[in-house]
Amino acid sequence: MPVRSDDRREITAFLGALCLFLSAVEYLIPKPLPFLRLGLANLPLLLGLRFLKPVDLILVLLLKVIGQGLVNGTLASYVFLFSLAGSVVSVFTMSMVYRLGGRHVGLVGVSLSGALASSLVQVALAVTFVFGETARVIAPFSIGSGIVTGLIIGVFAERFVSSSGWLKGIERRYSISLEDSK
Amino acid sequence: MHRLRILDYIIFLLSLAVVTASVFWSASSGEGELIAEIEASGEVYIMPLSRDGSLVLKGPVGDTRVDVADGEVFISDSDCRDKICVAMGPVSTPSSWVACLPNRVFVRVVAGNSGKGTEVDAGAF
Repeated sequence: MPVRSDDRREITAFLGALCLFLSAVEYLIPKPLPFLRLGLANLPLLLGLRFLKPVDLILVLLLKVIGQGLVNGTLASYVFLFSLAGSVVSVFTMSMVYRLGGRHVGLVGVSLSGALASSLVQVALAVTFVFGETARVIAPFSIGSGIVTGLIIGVFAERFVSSSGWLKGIERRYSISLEDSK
Repeated sequence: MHRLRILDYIIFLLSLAVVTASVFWSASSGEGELIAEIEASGEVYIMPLSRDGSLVLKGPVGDTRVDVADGEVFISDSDCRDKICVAMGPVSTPSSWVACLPNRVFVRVVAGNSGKGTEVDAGAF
């Protein structure tokens, strides 16, 4: 695969598109409870935060949130704000954990911390702004399910990263294109 | 190689701790925030369920006595004929109620902070 100078932009856009696709896949999976989500669309973010520049990571994040909003039909509702807040905090936490943890932390820990942060923020928002104190009732379910899915996605990402030649290729192209643009 | 590293375990334990904490936090909700809203002869009275007390209300057929004790509200006596209100016993959960229809007294439990005794329904998510 020849390396081109716009690879960086292309890869960012591709990861965003992957989020949109995974949102659609997730939409097909029936949910036993409405707030139980698998969080498949977090996968590109989890893979991306290992090698993307912060600017590109934020772009993928925005694409993910908008894509999810489009697929789920929640783009124009307050659910979108929940999703946005949860995702922003989650990505921020994941980057921090990944950078600070260094080689002591794997993608499982990164994914878990992101899921934890996201569900905590959403519960806090629900209690403070939308449903009042009674929203506490859902806190254990929301946080618990977030952790279970965070764990699943994390384990998958860890395995995927260690065995995918495709991802290595992408990472290489991205870093070369970064070098080029300097 | 996908071996779990030290921080993975720590974060996992931390997550479990947060879930456990949230269970307790959730279970402790609503305590002491409930109030009884009492309507009689066009007036509305409020009694917190956390404090014992009683109130005598005048109505078309006489007096109705509303008592709060041990976090529950009940009508202990009324000058009506059938005493159905007294037989209804104590209530303490949001949006439950007791009423004395002949004497036009209506007692309802509401959650204090959120205004009305709203329930979360799963469809909201």
